[in-house]
Amino acid sequence: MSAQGPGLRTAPVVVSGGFITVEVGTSAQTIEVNTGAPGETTSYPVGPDRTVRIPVPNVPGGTVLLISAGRGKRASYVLVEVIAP
Amino acid sequence: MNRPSVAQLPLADVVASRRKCLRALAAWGGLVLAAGCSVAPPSPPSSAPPPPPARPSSGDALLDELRRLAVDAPLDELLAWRLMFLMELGSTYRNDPLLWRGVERMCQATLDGTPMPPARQSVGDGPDRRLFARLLAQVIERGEPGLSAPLQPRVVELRRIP
Repeated sequence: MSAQGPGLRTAPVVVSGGFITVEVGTSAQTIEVNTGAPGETTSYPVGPDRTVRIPVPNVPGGTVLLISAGRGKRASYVLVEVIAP
Repeated sequence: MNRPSVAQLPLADVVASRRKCLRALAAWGGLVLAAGCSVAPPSPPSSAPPPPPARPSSGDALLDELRRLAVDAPLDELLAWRLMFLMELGSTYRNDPLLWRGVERMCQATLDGTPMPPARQSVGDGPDRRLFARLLAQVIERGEPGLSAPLQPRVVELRRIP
C-alpha cells in the first residue's frame, strides 16, 4: 500500500532516521517536506527519473511528515507517518 | 320627504339601479384584484450569510486566499484545503495571526468529530482523522508561542484521537 496524492506516491509509513523514496508525477522540480515546525521545511530536488530519495529526520515515532510538490492550490500533498526504528 | 319604495319604482328604474350597483362592485373588485396582483409577494428571508467585510489585500495572493479560508470560508472548504493550509502555514506564513484562526477552526472541527471531506490535491487522506490530528498537534506544539498558546491545551486531545 502506498500513500499518494494526485502527483505523489510514497510509502505511508517510514522509519525514523531511514530513507523514503517519493515518486513525483507532476512537473515540479522540487518537493518540500514539513514536520509542522518553523524552519523545518526542507526542499529536495526531483531527479531525472522523477523520484526523490529523502533522508527521514530523526524525529520521535508518531511524527507526521507533510510532503508537497509545488505550492498553493496546484500543489500535490501527501501525509506520511514516521515510526520508531 | 318620503322616498318611494323599491316596490313603487318602475321596473326599468330598479333594473338600471341594480346594474349600476353591480358595475360599481365589479369595478371595485377588479381594482382590488389588480392591486393584489401588482404587489410582489414578500421575499422569503435570505438564508445566505452577509458577505464578509472586505479585507485589504496583503499584496500576496496566496496569503490573501489562506486568510480567506481561515476566517471567511465555510468550514468544509477550509477542511478540504487543510493540507495546503498547514503546509503554507508551516513553511511560509507561520506568524500570521489570521491564519491561526484557521488552525483553531480546524482543531475544533477535528475534536468535534466533524466529517472530514477528502483533502484537495491529495488522495488517501480523506478518512484518516488520526494522521491529520497528529499533524495539527505538531503544528500547534511547535508554533510561534504567542499565536499557538491558546491552542496548546488541545494538543493532548488531538493526540488521543484513534
